[in-house]
Amino acid sequence: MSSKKRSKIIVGCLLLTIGVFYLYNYLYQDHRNIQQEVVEISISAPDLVTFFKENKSEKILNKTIEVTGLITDINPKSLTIDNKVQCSFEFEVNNFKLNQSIRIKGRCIGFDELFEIVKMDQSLIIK
Amino acid sequence: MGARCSFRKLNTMKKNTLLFLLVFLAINFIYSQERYGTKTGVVNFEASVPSFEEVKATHNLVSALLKSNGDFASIALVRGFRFKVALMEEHFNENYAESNKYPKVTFKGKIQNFNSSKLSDVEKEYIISGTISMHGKEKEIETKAYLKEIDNLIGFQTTFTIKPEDFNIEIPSLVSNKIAEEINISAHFKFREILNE
Repeated sequence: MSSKKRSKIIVGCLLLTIGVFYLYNYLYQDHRNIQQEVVEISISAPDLVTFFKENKSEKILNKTIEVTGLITDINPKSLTIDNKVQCSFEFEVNNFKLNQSIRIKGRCIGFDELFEIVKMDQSLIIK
Repeated sequence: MGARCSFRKLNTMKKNTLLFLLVFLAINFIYSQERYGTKTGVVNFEASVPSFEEVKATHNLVSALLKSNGDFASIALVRGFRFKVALMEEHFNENYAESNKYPKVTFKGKIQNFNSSKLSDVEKEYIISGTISMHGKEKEIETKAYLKEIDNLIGFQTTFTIKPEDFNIEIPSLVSNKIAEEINISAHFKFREILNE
């Protein structure tokens, strides 16, 4: 085997390995990390509902946002702000009181007409 | 004589008032339904094919309302379905469910012969029927549902299957052997009574 042929095979194998590596990384890329993303809109809970009432939802759907207001409902893994926005967490939320002022970052997943609330997931308490 | 006449008049008036009151109460009784709701219902869907990567998603934020006469309504925001593989979630949203255009899946229907006062901690089988609307299409379904009541919470669960073509969702031939033709849906809700504010 000439050294030219051998180096061709080596380069070919190397390229294949890199290709497989990139393909794997593409197929099994990580989920978005909402907690590290930059907040696109910071808004009060009632104003967030207005976005959906005025059919401007595409500006906010699937975006990382920050919502402020008072806690009106406490569930093991979700908090409701001003009866307008339900923020869900991937961990249990304790040590909160009703009517406590709060600022929450999360991903907006849409408006629920049954309860007239906006829903957020992957939330994080900022303050 | 005159006094007696007016007395009789007064009597009929009283009777009328009583009748009116009874009718009013009856109407009130019929229409004042108890309502039960949840904002954290769980819906799973699975369209896996054996020996291929699992096609499975979970939604933990499904809303649902149940009335004491069996009326049932539910909304699942499409963006809330979470997959293990991020790319699969992206393709589901962008190419199949088109969640920007059709952000929610809804169900509206009725649990047949339902009477909330007859629930107990022993699970009871019911038939639920209604319309699923998704991706701009509607489809009638009928399936079994299992309900029970424990500690003032109504537990509801059901399973059924849907087909992508029922909702005008095209699966490209390149991946069609990796996605099941029938998609299994299961739903678990814990309803709590909604008190009027």
